[in-house]
Amino acid sequence: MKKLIILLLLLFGVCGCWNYKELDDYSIITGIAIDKKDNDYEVSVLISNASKSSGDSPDSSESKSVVYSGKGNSIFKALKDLALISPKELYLDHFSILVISEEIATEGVYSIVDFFLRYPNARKDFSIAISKDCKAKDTLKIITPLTDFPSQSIADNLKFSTNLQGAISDLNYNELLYDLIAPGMEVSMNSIKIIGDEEEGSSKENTESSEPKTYLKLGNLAIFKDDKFIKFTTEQESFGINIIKNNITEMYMKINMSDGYVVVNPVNFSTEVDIKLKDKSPVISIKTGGNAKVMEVNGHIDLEDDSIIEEIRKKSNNKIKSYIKKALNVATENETDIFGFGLKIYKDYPDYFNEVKDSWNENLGELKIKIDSDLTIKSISSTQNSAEVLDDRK
Amino acid sequence: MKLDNNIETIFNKIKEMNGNSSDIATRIIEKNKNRIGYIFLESVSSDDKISNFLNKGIIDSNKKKLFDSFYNSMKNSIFNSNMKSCDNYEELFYFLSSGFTVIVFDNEEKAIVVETRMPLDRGVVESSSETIVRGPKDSFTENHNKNIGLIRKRIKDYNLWFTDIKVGKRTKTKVSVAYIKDIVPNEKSKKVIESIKKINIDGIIDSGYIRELIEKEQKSLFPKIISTERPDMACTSLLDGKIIILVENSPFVLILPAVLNDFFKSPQDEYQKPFNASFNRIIRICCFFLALLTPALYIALMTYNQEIIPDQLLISLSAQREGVPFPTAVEVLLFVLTFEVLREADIHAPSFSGSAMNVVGALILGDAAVSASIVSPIVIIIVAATSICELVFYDVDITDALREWRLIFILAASFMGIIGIVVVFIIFIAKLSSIECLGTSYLTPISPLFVKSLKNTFIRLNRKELKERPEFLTENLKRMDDNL
Repeated sequence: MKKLIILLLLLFGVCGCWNYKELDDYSIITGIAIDKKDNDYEVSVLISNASKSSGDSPDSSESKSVVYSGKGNSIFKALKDLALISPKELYLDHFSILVISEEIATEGVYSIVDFFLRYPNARKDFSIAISKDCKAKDTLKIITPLTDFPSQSIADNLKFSTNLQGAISDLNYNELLYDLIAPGMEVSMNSIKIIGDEEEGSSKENTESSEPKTYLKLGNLAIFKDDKFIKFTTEQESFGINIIKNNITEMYMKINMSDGYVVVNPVNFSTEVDIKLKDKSPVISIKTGGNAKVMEVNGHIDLEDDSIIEEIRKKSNNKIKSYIKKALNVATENETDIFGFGLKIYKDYPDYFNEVKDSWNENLGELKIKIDSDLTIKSISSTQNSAEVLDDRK
Repeated sequence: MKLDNNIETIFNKIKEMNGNSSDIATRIIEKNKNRIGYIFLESVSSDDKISNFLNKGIIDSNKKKLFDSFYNSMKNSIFNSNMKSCDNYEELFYFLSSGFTVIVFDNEEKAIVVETRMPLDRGVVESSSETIVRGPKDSFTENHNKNIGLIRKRIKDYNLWFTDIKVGKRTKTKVSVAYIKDIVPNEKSKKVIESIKKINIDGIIDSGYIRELIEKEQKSLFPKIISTERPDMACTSLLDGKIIILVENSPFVLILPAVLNDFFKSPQDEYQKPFNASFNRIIRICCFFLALLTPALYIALMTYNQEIIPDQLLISLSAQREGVPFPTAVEVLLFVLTFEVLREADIHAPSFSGSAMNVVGALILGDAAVSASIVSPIVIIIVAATSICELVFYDVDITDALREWRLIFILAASFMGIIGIVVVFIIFIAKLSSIECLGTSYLTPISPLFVKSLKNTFIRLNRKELKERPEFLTENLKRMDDNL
């Protein structure tokens, strides 16, 4: 036993501290942006300036993070170029957001996904977004006063807005890969844009003002065909896409009534997509359901009247149907199955799908699609009628 | 060496044997043509007792002419219940040193020894090393008889046996093995007594000597024998079927066999509500692993396996490391050792320098070291958490064992990260399960598994459920009648 223990302890020495690395030898990268510049990749990394982020003086003059950019004809080359700038070893294990530019996306994302799949240390759960009307690099630079790192604010924003705000759905790397590889499924991805001036946004003053002049805002979905970006959708189309993909648990809808409007907030919202093969052609039924709350009433609308509630319910359902139709339209126009109908058919009827897969995207418009919405108004929230209605009754 | 039959010869011989030590007192009294002499050591004998029992007895012996010899009449007239006779010099010295007075006669090769011991010990006071809130507060002392008494008064059963063995060629220390005859299997008690009888040493000063000498293998860092200051703990163990060893002049009583699980128990557990006791035990078990692994895990995460640390924590940890000149492993070792030094100093420092120690320990070592960027604040937190975790244990020996294993884990982690910790952990478990005392494996009752004994292991069930003694200690299981 004694000899065995000595031998085992000697083993520790043999490997010579294999893979030993102190934490402060690393530059911790929290976000990556990829742009195209003169036919080269321009990879920008956001490095947390750790020594300042937890320092004693909160109003230190240096900013808490640094953006470096490297150029190269491949992503790896660009990262090696970055290593010449960074005083420490780049540490890719923990980054939380990847922003790609429109240009890269238009050329196709296959060129960039492989690097992160192959790189052993990279996590596979970072979020991906596409920058709209600006360079991807600039989105990393915008400093916000509420979070320590710009990338953190994007990642958090995506995470907390998903499911609660209809147009947003967080797409992480694993899901992107799945959407790319799976048959009968195309990619839809969130966009991100800069409101205000980029230059101002990257300066320290931006965080010191109580109303930041420049900030990042999550935008509507961008749709892809194969791996190539096609177009940004409108807000209503994004709603529809997320409804069909069952990415929403909560959203909001403004329902216009004869006199004024109500705002309805569906909760526990869910969608079921059912596909059946009938006479060698698929019949798709999209069925949504859930409960809704009335969140806001404006105008002479008597909520104690059951027929009014029924009217709100019908109009809400129609609105959801119209969102879905708009989403279906944008998909058929661009001939891309972002909903994954094809994937569902492939799972249930693989033989049939193999027959039609080559022309599946092109023939999307010919699908028979039945839309059904069953939203019930469960609650009118914390009060009964609006003050306006009560005033009428006097 | 046989006793002589002349008083002066005996006196001279004793003085000569002991190099004319100044505390030897002698006196010769002449009565009716008979002479008696008595000899005692002033340092260990009580003058009062000698005057009361001895002188009175000598005077009284005149009145009774019933006995054939002066020796016999003396023997029957001394007012002392603890009286023995002795006939050689070696034994005579043992009695003298124990505080007996030796009465010698002319024409008689025997001597009478009478107990006239001076109380040379402190009274029964509250235990200082093993404090509890709820439960009896008395503790063992240096007086052997008192210690036995503290057990006797708790267990008034004729089956409670004490076997005395004299150990040590020079100290002739009394060692008592106590066990409850009908609970402890015969071979176990015999084995313990045999192993104590085999000890051949010049002196036993404390029970620690005995513990070391009867433990066969010394390789294990973990204690195989519990030592306690608390009579209630000793009695609980006796009732469970364990054997205890009391050593003269030592307030620490040995309990054996010990299993690892015993160290997660505190005597207080038995007096608390079962739920609270169970909760405390689970906390102690968690602390055991925390105290063992926290610094090692920190090193492994910081220097090898950073990918496990959550994003936000990673950035804050990295910020704390910024500017610290030493590698993480050195930093941790430095502070772990500093704490050990502090602890050692605290034990030996006289009480008046305690507050100075506090200032040095808390302010200078903690605060200033961080300000000076010698260690990062998180290391102080890690070492502090580890140290607090190790202090929840009731037994000092387990704390020491934890400390040594912790260092091994730290070394493994600094060479190989998580993999090193896993490898050492496997060795650790293998070592633990190889420890064995009186035929009981150290990880009992988990490995080997004794399902019934689990009722009082990680948790303590209600006393009504604990109807049986631990199966691995005894075959006499019944502790309580079923009709309760």
